[in-house]
Amino acid sequence: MIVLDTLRKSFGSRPVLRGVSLRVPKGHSMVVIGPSGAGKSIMLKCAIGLTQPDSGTVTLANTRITPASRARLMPQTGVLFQGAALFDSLPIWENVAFTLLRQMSRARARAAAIEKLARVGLSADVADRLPSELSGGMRKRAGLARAIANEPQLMFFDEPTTGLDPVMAGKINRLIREVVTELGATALTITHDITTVQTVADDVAFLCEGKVRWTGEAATLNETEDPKLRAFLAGRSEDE
Amino acid sequence: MNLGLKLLAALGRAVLRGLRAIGSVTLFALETARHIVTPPFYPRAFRSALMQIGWLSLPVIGLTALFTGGALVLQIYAGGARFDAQAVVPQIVAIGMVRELGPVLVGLMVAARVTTSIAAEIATMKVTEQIDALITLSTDPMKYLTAPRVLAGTLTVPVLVAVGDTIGIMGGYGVATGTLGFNAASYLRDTVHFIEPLDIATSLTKGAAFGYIATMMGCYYGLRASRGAMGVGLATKGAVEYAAVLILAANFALTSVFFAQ
Repeated sequence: MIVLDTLRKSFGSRPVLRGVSLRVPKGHSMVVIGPSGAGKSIMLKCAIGLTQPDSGTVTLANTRITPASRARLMPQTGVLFQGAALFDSLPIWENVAFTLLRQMSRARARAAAIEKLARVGLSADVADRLPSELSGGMRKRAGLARAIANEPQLMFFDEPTTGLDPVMAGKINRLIREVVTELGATALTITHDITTVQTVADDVAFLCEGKVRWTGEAATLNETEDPKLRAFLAGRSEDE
Repeated sequence: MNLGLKLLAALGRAVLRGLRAIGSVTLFALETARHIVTPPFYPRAFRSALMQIGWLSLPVIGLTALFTGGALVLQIYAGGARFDAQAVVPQIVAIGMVRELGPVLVGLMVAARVTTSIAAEIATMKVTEQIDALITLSTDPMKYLTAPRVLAGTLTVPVLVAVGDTIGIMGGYGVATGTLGFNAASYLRDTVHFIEPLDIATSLTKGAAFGYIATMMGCYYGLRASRGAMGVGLATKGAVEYAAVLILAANFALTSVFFAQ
């Protein structure tokens, strides 16, 4: 379970999160949508423990996130970053097996990495390539393979389809849905891509101006009466 | 507020900024030392840093020392001629290279080559969220990125200094015996007899200190880079500028400790 409780965060005098509360039940996949500047990225960073909120709490798998507990929880989490954030200096298999290399021999870790790469549709011949030699879509897949390497129970996805063409975006969305379902993981995704909502979400939250304006099941999203959310879904500003 | 008060306020802000920066770098240096001696250790990252900082710096260090040693002989010979003291060229070159020029030149070349490279690499990792990714993979960036590089710098730069000292002296030897008519055997004998163990100890100690400073400053600025390409550029510039200044300041401090009468 992922619980964000009244998160507040400001940068200087500019408030970014104004009391964000969300609850993702165990095994559910929640997608948070919202316009640029709504505070989605900062909310996700707070949820992962990369940014400390000014006030409010984050609870992951029944453990409240603190600097001390974060290290303990990290092995249970998998994160796919917006640009994949693969380590430039390491070949793809070492990126995927980064945490596995602490637990097993290099040969076994490599075999496990190739298995994870296959799971996300990448062949074994990319294993020895560097991230710079892969296309954007392949890097995203490799990033996803790294995120699932430890078979985490908590997964976080930061704008997973940004920068991808619609076909590749669709593939990534379906892969995310499949791996989250297979692992039985609890997932939190932020995006402004409605196709991600349609494919990945059990539940949806709409974040606007640092506050959650709407939450509900993905199937009920189009029935919303919230004018800002309706405008967002229609791809126009509220006053248009 | 009148002009005088405004100037005073600006001066106070600048002093506070400077003190904050000194405190921040000092804390980072101490934290780095703690991470070097406490597990987990990353031997592969350490070996890679040894290659990058040590082995791959050898050509540029060697060439720098060679030309400096040669130029030093010409300068000392010309200067010594004013006092009819050309015979002391081997001794002055030896002491100048080992005590001062060798460590400082190597330190500055390492700052130019290694500090910039470390700062740019880590700053790029920062702006592309690779540092965040490290943290989510249960890896402390201080342990994985900073500790191996700073340890490698502290261990390899003294070796580079020893190589630089030797090549610098041999560069001087080449010029002295090839163009100035010095006897080869007596030049070498004068050089070897004149250098004392304290000179070598000073040289290597300076090398270790400069290696620590050069690598640590690269990591410090890299990890504090702000977002975007401009942040990478600023981190690289700041790292090499302040590494060079700190190396020269440390050189003065260590020379005072070893040789002040």
